[in-house]
Amino acid sequence: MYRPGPDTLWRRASPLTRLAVLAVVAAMLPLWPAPVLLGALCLALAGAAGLGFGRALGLRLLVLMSPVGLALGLVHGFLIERGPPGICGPFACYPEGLRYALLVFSRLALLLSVSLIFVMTTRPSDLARALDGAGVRPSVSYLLTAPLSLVESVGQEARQIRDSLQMRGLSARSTLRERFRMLAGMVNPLVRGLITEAPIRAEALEMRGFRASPKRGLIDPVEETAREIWLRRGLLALALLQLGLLLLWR
Amino acid sequence: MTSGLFSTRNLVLAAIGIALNIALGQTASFLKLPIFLDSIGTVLAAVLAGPVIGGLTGLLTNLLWGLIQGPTVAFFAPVALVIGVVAGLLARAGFFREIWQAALSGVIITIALAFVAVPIRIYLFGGVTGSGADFLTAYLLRLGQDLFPSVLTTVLGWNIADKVLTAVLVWGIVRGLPGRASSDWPFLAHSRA
Repeated sequence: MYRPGPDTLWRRASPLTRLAVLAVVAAMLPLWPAPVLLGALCLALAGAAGLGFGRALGLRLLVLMSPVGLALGLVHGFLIERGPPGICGPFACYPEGLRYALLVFSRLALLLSVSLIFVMTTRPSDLARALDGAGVRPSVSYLLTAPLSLVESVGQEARQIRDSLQMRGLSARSTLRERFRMLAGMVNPLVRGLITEAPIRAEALEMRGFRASPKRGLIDPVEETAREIWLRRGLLALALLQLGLLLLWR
Repeated sequence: MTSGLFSTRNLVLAAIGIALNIALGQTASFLKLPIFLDSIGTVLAAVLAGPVIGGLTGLLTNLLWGLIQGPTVAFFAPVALVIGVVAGLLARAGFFREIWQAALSGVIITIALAFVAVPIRIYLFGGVTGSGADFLTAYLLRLGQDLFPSVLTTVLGWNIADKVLTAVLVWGIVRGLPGRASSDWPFLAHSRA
């Protein structure tokens, strides 16, 4: 998922600071109305353009959010009775339902765009180093970062098995029965191989001092200035403040 | 080598389970199969290491996948947690020894997950999540059903084939593991006939 790009303030920031921004955005969602969230979404898209992957992010958002938007609009705007009905062309619709659909859509689109910006600008290894540097237990940082690195290699292995099955005559575009056969042919060798490897991977981790106590030393820790640490604290306080406001208003 | 519930070996298993869930979920989409197939890693971790590791694998799968695929997935993390915990409890009770028991486990997992998935779907998303299952919800609403029974029918109907197939696939994988796997994964003894 990581995409290299121009050297910007965002990319120079610690992955933990970027996570704090994600926390601020997540705390915004239940508090603010749709226009504010859509404005923030536009800002996020502009930010992605500045980071060098605006088009890729926009396309991904379009692919992932279009079905959600359609389903929300159809179900809440036309099928569930919510408030007085209105007229939308040849159909009767519920304007209140459409407003609710827009609110849910803007929440999901904003959180998705910011989380994608985080993933596209953060290498799992950098996140692991930052978590280690912050004193997070190695087991926790391993569980949060190793899967992100493993997904690529597991996906690659799955594709190789799929290609070899296709070479033997099974097709991914054939009947449902054939596609299920192909699935079984892919899953068994892939999963058995990974399960057999697991104890070896665990031993390799322990030999590299995975659980060294009281704390692992890092050869290249993530550099942070005092200003950035204070900025991160401010962001976390802002996230908490928004949650507090939400509790106060409800 | 460390031992215990959160041993390095179990952590590696959880990481592999998470990666498998994500990679196989994408494979199911590629093969255009009418199932999710995104809990094989969770059920497998539960059968090999118990309900806690299974639940942890499920929970973290959805939280991490949510970063890549969209926040909808992340909101369903409690559902994935339930799948892992229930699969682990069923494995402890010996429900992964025979193929019919594995299929029954899939049905029980589906019923258990509905208790968590239906409220999340209704209260956080108003009943729809942008998946193909929304057509069924919309159809049932159009027939005059209320939102709750429409969503419950959708969740049960959409998940049952997926979870039964997942449980049967895991049974097949576990059955094909070499005999020495039992010494690597002591919890597996509950699922060996």
